[in-house]
Amino acid sequence: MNLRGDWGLAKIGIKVWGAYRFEFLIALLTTPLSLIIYYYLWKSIYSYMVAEIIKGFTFESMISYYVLSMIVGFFTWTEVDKWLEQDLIHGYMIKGLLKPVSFLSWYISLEIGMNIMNILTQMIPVFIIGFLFFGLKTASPFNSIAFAASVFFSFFIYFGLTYLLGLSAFWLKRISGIRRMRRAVFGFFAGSFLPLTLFPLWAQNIFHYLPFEYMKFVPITIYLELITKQEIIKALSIQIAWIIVIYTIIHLVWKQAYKRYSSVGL
Amino acid sequence: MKYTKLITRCAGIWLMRDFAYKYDFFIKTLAVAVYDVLGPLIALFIYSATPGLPGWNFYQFLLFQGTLIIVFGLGRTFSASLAWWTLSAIYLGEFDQYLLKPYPTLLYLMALTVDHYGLVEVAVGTTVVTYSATQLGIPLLTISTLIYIFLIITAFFVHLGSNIIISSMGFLAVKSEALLQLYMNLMDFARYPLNVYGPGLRFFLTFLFPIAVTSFFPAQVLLKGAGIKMLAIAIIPVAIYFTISLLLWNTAMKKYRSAGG
Repeated sequence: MNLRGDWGLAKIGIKVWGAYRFEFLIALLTTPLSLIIYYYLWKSIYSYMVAEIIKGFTFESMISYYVLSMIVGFFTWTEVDKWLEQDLIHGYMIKGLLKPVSFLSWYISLEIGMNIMNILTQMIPVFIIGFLFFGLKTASPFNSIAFAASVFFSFFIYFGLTYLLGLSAFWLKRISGIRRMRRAVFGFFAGSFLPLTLFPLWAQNIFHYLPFEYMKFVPITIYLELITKQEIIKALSIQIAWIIVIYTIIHLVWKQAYKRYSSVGL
Repeated sequence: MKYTKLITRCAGIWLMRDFAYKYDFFIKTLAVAVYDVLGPLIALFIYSATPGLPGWNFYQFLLFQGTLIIVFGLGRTFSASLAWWTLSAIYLGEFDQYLLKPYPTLLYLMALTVDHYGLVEVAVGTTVVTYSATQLGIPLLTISTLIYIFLIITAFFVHLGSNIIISSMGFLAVKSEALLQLYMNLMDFARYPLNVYGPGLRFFLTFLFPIAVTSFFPAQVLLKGAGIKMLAIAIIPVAIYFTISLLLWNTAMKKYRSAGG
């Protein structure tokens, strides 16, 4: 790893973000609308039942769940599979291979640069919106730090899996179907639409052995203090383990993909 | 007649382009279906953990979700890419060519942006609706079903109208992606029944941005039967909305000055 070079790439990421700042700002203004939908949905569900807690969630923590889901989503957002697909179809990949940095770290640095801007312009405003309008509470210092660390790891897991799926473009060329499937499966199993505790028990037990819940659900439960300190430490170490596994697989698949690759374009 | 030929030609070309990558075609078809099944699955999980939404039992809500999938599917097939296509054509300065075609510009653009994956959604939605209707014991060969289909077509015009409004605004105010994004997010309000929301939002979704007809009113017709008053509330706002969109389009066409190049 060459940190100076990586920071240079991250700065390019910031510039790329700058080109799309209008789109990001629109997203910031319009995505909180979905919070209004979830607010009314759960309000009517909670007012319709006798008990006040659904599978460990009170009404307030349920709404906070969706605010945090949005925040984590902003941070882990990536379209690296689309970039890989376009690089391969249009033949830009050869330019990337000529650079004196590995292809993966080129993209990671770029993405980190973009995400630094996302923290400033999306995460922080949504936090404020959450505090002001949706009753989000501050977490204890330990949980806040653990949350930040966990979201950081989530990004690497999300990015790694997306990159791994993106590599399939070496074999299939066009992967718009895989990308669509990726969004549906990741969103659903990571808990974007519904907290995973509402899923059937057998499904939850399987999820513990899959990386999906570590991309969104686990950081949120850490913030909402739904799990104990020991469990937090365990969750963070599992996240690190997944990162090691995923990036080892990427390394192996990349070798095969590179062997297969014959350039188009330049 | 000339026009149906145009649509089938366009759809055929898209289909052939997709067949160039066969695996991608199959995976994408599957992915569209999977995406649609998520809504009913979420409904199932919500209903198994809670008593659910007030006034809706599980199969009624499933029927609601199925209706939504059908309408979104129709919208996707015939109108969803219209705004996006027009906006990028304006931006790149490629729009002039569409004015030269021997078809009305709007109809030509609609034919050009047919998205056959929407038909997968229509199929999934129809399956969900038929399944939940049989579970509820609702006979499907009645007048209500005809009204239901009529309302679904009405609902399609909300989505078409929205796309026309966004495209027209693209001519009048060039950067109109904001509206497109807003529309996508507002569309999600149709995912849950109208009685979930507060009175202000209910008014907005029925009369100003009449998206309630996308799912709420058709489902009501099948479940509770149709009344004249309810049909009027469902149809008249859509008629007004769609007329406004066409007027806007005509204004935009008059004001259009070519850009880009």
